[in-house]
Amino acid sequence: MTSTSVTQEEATEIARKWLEDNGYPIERRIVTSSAEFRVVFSVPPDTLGGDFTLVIDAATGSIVDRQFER
Amino acid sequence: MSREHRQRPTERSRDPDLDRLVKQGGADKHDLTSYLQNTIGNAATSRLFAKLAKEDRGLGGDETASAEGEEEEMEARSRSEPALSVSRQDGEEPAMTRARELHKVLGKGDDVVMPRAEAFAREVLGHKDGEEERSLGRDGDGNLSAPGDGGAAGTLANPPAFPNITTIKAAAPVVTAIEADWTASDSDFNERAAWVMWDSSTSTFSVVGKAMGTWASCTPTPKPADSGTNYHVGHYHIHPQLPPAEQPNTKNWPIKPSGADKSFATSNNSPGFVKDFNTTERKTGDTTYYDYGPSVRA
Repeated sequence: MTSTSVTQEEATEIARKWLEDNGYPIERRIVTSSAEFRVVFSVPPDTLGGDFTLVIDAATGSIVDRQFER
Repeated sequence: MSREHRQRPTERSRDPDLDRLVKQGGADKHDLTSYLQNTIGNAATSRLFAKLAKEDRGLGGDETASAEGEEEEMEARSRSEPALSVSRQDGEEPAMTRARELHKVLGKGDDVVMPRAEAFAREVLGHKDGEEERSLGRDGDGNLSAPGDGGAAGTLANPPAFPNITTIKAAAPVVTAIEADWTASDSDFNERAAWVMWDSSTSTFSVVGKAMGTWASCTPTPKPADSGTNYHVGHYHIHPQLPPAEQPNTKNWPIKPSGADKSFATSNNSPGFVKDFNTTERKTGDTTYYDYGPSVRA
């Protein structure tokens, strides 16, 4: 299990700077953000399979995305 | 040995037209063995390679063989090779004429296919650039050797060149096994895996150590050890249809080999392929084989 290394505000600024630096028009856009945890369950090295990745909304605890590799 | 066959392979590897014709004939430099096996069968392929290997060993031998012996061999070859049915064009190299002939007749299954296959193999092997030398292997003295002649069969200390993933996944015993596993998964949705072995003395494949996992992963049995002329050369597994409870979430299950699949293949020095769907919609019958890991065992 890992934890986030930036705050939600810092993440918002990173996103804003990236969009501006890459020429995306963001004037008048309303910004929202949510903290998420990406939780990965990996298979051991002797197994053919893949990662189970769940994305958890830190504010609500709900699962907002999931990917199951095989 | 004819003078033509004394010519060094590298000297004939600069003929792009012939190279193209060889590929059009269905056998490029990398899958000659499987092509011949499909054309003339496994046993005939082994005999053919053995014959060619003995001649190749002659290439590196006594270059001052007596003219008398050479003439006898050329005469014998002229008796054994069929007449060409295509006409040699003005200025055309004999090898090009023969390549056109082979392109015309190979695969038709007529009663002269074996000598034509042999001639075709000569054309392909005449373009060897290292890949082909690997496919024949080398004996302890560094001479070319072939499956079935005791040279390319190799030993545990001096293994032969191994078949690549293209050859492995086309081998009949392997295809039969993986397709049987796929059919079995129709009812239980479980992944299955197995190891592929190759007997270098007969150039034949077998499947061992079958394992079954869940619908999400599979832990293969321990990798089989090499024994005699029987070598581990790869493995396969399947990504079958998802169980009913997961089918509504099919897009959450990516297709193709995973990163863990690739890591497994690399760490086990084991070329792998997986049967999986072409899209995450997972429509029945819309499947393919995906390669992963090394293309050939080191």
